[in-house]
Amino acid sequence: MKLDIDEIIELDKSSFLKIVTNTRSVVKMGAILLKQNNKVLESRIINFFRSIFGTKSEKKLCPESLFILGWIGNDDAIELLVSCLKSGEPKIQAGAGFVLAQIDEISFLDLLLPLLNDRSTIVRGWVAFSIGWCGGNYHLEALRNHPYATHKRFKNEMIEILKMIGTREALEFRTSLLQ
Amino acid sequence: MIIRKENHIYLVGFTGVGKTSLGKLISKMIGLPFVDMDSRIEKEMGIPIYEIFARYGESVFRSVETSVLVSISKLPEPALVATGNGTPLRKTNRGTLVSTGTVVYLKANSSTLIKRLKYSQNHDAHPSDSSELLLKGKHYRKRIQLLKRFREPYYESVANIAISTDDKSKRDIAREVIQRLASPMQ
Repeated sequence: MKLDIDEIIELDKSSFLKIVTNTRSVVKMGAILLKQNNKVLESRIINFFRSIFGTKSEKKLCPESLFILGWIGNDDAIELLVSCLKSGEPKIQAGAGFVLAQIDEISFLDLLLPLLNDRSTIVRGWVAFSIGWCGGNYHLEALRNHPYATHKRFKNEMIEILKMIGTREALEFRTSLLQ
Repeated sequence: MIIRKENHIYLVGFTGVGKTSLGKLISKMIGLPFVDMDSRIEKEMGIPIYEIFARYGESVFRSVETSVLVSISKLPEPALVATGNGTPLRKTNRGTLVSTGTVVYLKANSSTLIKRLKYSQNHDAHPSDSSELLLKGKHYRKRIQLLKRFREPYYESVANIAISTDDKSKRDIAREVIQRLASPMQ
């Protein structure tokens, strides 16, 4: 799909929905957003997402559609992403968790960690990768002392995260979990 | 050659695309000094990048990266700069890149990147930290795709020139970069 700023700004809700259900179109739209820095467009997109979350259409979104809110990155977009963590729709939670970790994993860590115990593998996988990718030794205490630290699902994701962090301290902690 | 003499040339792109190795080659071919941002950051901090991440976290790394980029952008003579793979993530860095140079986005599809990352892991004496990290753990293909999708728009948004590096030799890519830089249309 060929996209430009004029087309996007004129799009109605259903056309917009087509874009955010297709990963390639989402990525194209991201480049336009970042290049243009157009506040009107950003606000329209945020309102579009607000109108769609919690409705049947939400299920059509691909997890990457949440990247759009990360690329916008203003307070409204971040507030919306945080609210998505409790969505109950795995694709939405996974996408939002991934994006928030990319924006600032330390600030959002308390909100992200409980998702490592989520029932959905997509939610756990995306969030674990994000934390592991950004992570360092400063994450170890938060993981060790988390109320879910002894839960099986959380523990398995912790093992994965610690492997990605890969420092001596992380690997020692990982070994202790495996024993 | 019509390469603009007053500007830096910045190479941006995902980990494994070859910013550093191509940067070295292109700089030799066009006679500009080469600057590798990651090496500058390591020099500034006195520790390897993986250790900066491990000790202080990504946000500290990004702040150092921003100040290193500003100092490079103010170099009196133009240079060819290999940026870090996350440099364009910050808005302030994107502003610096586009206002002080010509930005070349080196693109590659996920399978090319994985091949190069694996090659680097097995053959380089010092494979990059992010390549090690990306290949760790389960489902790394999916993860590379994911991270690449999140980062692509940042690269696209600053690029004056975008060049695909898939199925091309280093020398061919370098020639193409130089040709495009020299073109008045870019």
